Amino acid sequence: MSAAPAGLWDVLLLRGGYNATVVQSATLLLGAAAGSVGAFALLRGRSLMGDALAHATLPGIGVAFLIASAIGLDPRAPAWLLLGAAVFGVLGVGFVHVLTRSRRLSEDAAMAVVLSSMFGLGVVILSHIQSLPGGNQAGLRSLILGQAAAMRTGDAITMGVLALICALGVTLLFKELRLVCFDGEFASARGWPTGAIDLALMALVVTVTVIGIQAVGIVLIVALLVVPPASARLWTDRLWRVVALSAGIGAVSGYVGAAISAVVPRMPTGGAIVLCAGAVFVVSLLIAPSRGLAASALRLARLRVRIGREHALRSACEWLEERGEQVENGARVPVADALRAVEDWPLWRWFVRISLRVRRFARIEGAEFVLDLRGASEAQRISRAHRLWELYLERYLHVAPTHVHSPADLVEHTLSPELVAELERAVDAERSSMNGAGGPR
Amino acid sequence: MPRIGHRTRPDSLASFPEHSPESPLSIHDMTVAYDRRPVLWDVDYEAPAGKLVAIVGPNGAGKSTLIKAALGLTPMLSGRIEFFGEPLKARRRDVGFVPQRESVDWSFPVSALDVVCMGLYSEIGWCRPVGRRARERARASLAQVGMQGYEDRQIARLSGGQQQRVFLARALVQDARLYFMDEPFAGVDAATERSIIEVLRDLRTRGRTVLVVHHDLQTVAEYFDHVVLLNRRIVASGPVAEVFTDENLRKTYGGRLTLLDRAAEELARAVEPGAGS
Amino acid sequence: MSPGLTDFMALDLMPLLAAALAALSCGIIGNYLVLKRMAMMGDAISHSVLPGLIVAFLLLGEATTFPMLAGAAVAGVACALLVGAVRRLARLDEGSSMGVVFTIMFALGVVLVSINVRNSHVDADCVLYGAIEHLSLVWEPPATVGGLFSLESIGGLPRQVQSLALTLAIVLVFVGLFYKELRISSFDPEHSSAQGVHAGVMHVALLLVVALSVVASFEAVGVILVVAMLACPAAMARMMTDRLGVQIALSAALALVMSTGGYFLATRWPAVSPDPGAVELESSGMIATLGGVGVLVAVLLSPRYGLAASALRKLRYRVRVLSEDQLAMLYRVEESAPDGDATLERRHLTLGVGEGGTERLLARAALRSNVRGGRLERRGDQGFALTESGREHARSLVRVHRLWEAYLVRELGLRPDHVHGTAMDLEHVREHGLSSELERESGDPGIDPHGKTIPR
Repeated sequence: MSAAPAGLWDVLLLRGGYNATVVQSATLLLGAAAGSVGAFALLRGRSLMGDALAHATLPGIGVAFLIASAIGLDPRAPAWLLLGAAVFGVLGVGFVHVLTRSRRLSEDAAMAVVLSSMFGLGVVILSHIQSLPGGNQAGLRSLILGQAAAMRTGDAITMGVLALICALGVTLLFKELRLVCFDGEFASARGWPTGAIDLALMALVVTVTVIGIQAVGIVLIVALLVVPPASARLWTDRLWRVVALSAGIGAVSGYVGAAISAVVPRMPTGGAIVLCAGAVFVVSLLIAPSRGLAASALRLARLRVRIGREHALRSACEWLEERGEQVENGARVPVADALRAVEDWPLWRWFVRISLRVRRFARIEGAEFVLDLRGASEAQRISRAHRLWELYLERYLHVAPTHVHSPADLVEHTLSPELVAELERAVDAERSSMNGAGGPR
Repeated sequence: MPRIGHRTRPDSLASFPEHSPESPLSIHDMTVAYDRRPVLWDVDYEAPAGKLVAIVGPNGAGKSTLIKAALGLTPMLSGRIEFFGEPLKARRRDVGFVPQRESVDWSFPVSALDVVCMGLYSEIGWCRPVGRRARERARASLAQVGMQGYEDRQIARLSGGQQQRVFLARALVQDARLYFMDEPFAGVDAATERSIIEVLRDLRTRGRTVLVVHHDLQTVAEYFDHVVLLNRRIVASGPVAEVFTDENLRKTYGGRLTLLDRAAEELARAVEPGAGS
Repeated sequence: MSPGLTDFMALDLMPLLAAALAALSCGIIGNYLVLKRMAMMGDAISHSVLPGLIVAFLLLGEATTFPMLAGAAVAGVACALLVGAVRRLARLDEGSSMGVVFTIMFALGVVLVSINVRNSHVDADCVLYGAIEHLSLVWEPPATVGGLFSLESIGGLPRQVQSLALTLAIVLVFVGLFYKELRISSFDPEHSSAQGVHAGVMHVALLLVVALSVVASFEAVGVILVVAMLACPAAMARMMTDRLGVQIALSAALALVMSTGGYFLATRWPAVSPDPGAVELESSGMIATLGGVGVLVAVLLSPRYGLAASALRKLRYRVRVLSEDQLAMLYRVEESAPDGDATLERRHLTLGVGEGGTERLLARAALRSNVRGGRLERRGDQGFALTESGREHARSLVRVHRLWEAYLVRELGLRPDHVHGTAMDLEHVREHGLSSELERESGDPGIDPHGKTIPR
């Protein structure tokens, strides 16, 4: 760990030198392009194809190297190697299609076969290159796990420009990709060439994969196509936001990952970038609104508190009615009777009490449960919904009255006012047809 | 009203009028193999203009396949299809399609309005974004199916019936002259059923033709003018009052076509043994 | 002992043994991955081995073998379970959730290895490509071949070979003991659970055995190439048979061929290569390459399910149809000819078979097969006429054709002028008992809808 050249902050603020700055900008653009292309690949269910494709590029790199040295070109020119990679990537996708043509191998088996055996071929070719005079393959092997620091300024600029073109392609084809990813059948029926649009998406995936190889490496490039959109998907339900957010996450991961790998010795860029994206994913999974784990845990807890609250109000209402007392402001019920249906767990009971209090439904005075004005009407509403639901179950689903109680308990808490109204109509109609006239409610 | 598309009795069809340019849809000699097995044999049909037509038949009768083949989504083994006297390619603008609700992933991140706008993509053309006018039209179309106020709702948060209405709005926004609808009434609530029927009647008064794959025999007479009874072939077709008879229904639902099925299976196996397993 | 044999034992025996054992364990258990459409899960599991190893090492602080391997196996199963959890929680499809989980885990592994490279005993290159050749360095061969089989020498085998042998034993016991449970739970998980074979438990058990095989094998071939061992033998075998038992046996044999073939091809490359400066190639890569080539060949050339066979079958069927059409055509001409005799020229017999050059070629082939089969004979310069056996054949064809027409009109209510084409397709169907059933169902009317007699 000799004389750390620059701290992480310096590098992040683009004070890490000209080359580092260019490389970071390029990985930023790469992340944005991969994120936006990957969003559509994910929605089209093509995520892992990127993985198969990336692994299939390795022999392409080796073959390009061999051809270049045979015809006297500079065999390590990245543009040349990446061209070979692209050709073999497409070839890999083609092989997957051939293998699935027989209908006996599913796509995942075909991908596993192509991915591993083409990578194996690449390993063989690389071991052959090692034996060539001047064929020190260190340069090629770094493509497997990615080494952004080894990139030259020119390479980085090429990468950035191609990434920009990919992002532009996604923007231009946004509408078409949305249509095909959502409803390919409708798209075909309206005359859109869905095959061609799919092919365009695959071309974008190939381009992003190939330009990402130098920085992120063959093994991990697929992560840039999958992880950012998977994270973005957790945050929003609108496609353009998914794409934009995914591009943003990809860009930040690319940028920060490259900076970290520039600062920490021996840190592979691919690993650093993917871990940045992975951190965003884990955080998203935990805290994203509505789809995150925290949000759903909270939702569940609130539902349980609500159920407890409504149970308490209903029990109180039933207790009062049994004794012919009015369900009104200030009506008093023993706490033990009001809370008998609430889960017997101190913390829940406490939450339920707080919730009743906060909503001004009821308060607890000593051993008595005292209904407030709002609580009285709420209790009546709940009891009514409960009975309607019971009646409905009995009449239409022929659930025995003794069995009615428990399923009604679960569903009644989620009944919307419109549904209750509809239930009322249904039950009333039934009653009037049976009695000849609808009695007073 | 010209007597086209009536096919009350197979043997009376020798006098079948040859292709009329007025007919929104004419199918000639269509045979379709789906998943390598012929499911539709030798279908001939001319849809009457400005009518609501129910396509009725048992499960696996090829109702959806008929629509998909007509729209070019499933290849035909033989046959010819014309829309308003022209091939589909020339008339795509005039042909609308409401697929089955289960055919898409409803958790897809789009709003109801986004989905309706998809009906206008062809008009907008390649690479051009969806503009404000298109969105206005989509909004109007949503309102037409009673879905105003749901424009920005993510489609997963709509009820099944509402999703079906979004699909309907997507087809309506295109303002086609002929519509295909694949089981629009399947599993929808009463409000949606009413709304769809209203839309269908409105389309009829505007002279549009609608072919609906329908599974509820009880409502055929109430909702539709014409009916196509289908079971691997057209058993009968024509005005509901004439065609929707007990005898025809028995022929449609009670047919034993085991021999044909076995032969068809054998035909498929002759070329692809054990495939698809 | 000959010097060749000594060299073989010193240099090749252990790597070869390791490769074969790895290929066998992975190849056998891989059948279930391929059948359950989980081949890419094998890929995900193998990638997650890396962080498992390195985390186990960092926790234990020393490179003790079995705890590290256990850590790796745990990571493999954890990866598979995490894939399921992420799929549910983030509502992703299976592929995407795999892509998320295994790339993050592998990235974690790569980063940990790289920053601890000095003291980790885990080398990123070894993880990626394996180090099968190194096995010969850690083993002292006995003086004689017989010495191989002494207890002492078995105990002295390299650790990797020992653990591979143990893994293979576990795989064999697992597949052998739970053969029918695995079959039912792979084929129909719901039915399986209803039958009391809990599909979820079998699934986790399978994952555990896969993880074990991957962990034991990756030292030999690396995390990516181990996927080839999981997927290729099973995929090849699947192309050749429909029976699970046969498929497993076949995949084991193919795994052996693939591993030994790949090993020898790579290590004997200098001897085979025309280039005098050639060196030994990476044998793990060669094994995977061979596997991929094998799958491609199987998909193309498998006698029953291969693409070539299927194309050939279509061609043959087309020729049969054309030749039968020719016989029927001659028969119909005979029917309408006043003297009951008919001769048609080639251009007539190949009429109406479509414009394409291939179709014409096939029609010619059909004609030749008819002549060679004694169903047609040449008459004069250009003519062809039915022989007695040809007439017999043609009569039954025309009979079936007209029965079908009658059936289609009667049962389907198709128009009489529309059934000819369909009957043309159906008359070629040969199924036992079909024709007599057809007689019954069409009411054996004696004449077809066009008023022609149905021949007996």
